Amino acid sequence: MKLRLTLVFAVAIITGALGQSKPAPSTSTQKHDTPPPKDASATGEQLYREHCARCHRPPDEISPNAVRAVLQHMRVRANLRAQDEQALLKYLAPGR
Amino acid sequence: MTRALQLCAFMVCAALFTYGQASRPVISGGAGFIATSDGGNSSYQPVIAPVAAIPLGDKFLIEARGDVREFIFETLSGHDHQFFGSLEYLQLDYIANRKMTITVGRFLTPFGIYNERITPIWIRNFQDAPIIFPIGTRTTGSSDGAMVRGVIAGNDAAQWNYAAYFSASSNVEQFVSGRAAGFRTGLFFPHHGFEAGVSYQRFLQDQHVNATGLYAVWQPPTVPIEVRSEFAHSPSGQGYWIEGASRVPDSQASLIKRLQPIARFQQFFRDQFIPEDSLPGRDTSRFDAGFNYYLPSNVRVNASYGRVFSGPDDRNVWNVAVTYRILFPISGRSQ
Repeated sequence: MKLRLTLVFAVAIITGALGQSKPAPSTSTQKHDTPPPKDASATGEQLYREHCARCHRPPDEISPNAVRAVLQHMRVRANLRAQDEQALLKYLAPGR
Repeated sequence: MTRALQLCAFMVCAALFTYGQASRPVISGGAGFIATSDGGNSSYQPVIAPVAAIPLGDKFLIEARGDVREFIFETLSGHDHQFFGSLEYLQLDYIANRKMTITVGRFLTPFGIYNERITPIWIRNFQDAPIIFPIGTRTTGSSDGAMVRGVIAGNDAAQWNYAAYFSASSNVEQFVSGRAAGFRTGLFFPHHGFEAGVSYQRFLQDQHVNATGLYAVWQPPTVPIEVRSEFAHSPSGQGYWIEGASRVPDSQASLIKRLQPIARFQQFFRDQFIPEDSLPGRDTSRFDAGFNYYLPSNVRVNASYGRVFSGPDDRNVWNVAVTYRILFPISGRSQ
């Protein structure tokens, strides 16, 4: 009985999750008549939302000198690619 | 003590080695103060849990996290206190590519999602760990040995990730671990905000036992909520927890939107009695509800009320905490 309830619960969550297909709108992009260019920082923001924000919010402030090590730390934790790390670096520390 | 000094010396040398490199070592982690009333017994815990990340070029990384806390509790004659210090991980990572990272040293046991992702004091929504947390993470939540992890296959829309490990038995202070082997593997769909997976651990010392687990995390892109859940089974018993919250607000959120309601329900069903399994002796259910309020400068106020249903042990549990997320680079030359 307990196992059956667990299975029903798991199937319900999976079905519901995969039924949601529309990605969330970007919070920082402005309204455009044409789609905004997919530059590195936009990709970085999307990556942050999809990977990092699963567990935590962005820091209120982050020193550009700290970003690289933090991203390397998270590359191991969140299975990020090298290019993801670069995109997130541009998003979190635009001046680097 | 000597071992701790040797470790500190090693990390300082590693930090000096990286002086002037593009990747600067970082001290991060969390600190906080937790006040708890559990069945009328009050306790207070000042906590600091620093994390060090020391990159050695682009491929190697040394990571470490400690947890230092004073446990202050009421006695018949007033208050007493006890000091706890633990090294949760100290690992060397070799990032071969996205498919494989090789880790050696002491690392967090990859079972489910709670131990690896949600334990930091500044991340967890409830200061009390789930009841089933000891399943699959014996004996300390940390393992001493080697681990491989990465993505078996994937693209921008989906990834199949994994972590597999072997741990040796150790009774050395600060490096206590059990002899065990296991894995966690999951499917992650970034655009849907959904991940689900399974975990397995074979505990290989004393009484050999299997632990299995399921987990799911869902942040629907169109609705500002997040749901996390785990189920775990072992010969000691089985149980689950499910936690819901509004989406974590970003740093530009208005004062009202910085409030994040949270709730968790969990149950544990006892099977065999196994000594020192750190699980309740009888069937137990618990419901918690509360909130996080995110203040500026990485400070968070966290409060919750919980009700435990466990026969004669029914009780109320209150938690109030203030947490601070630490994040600053170790100084070096400007790039």
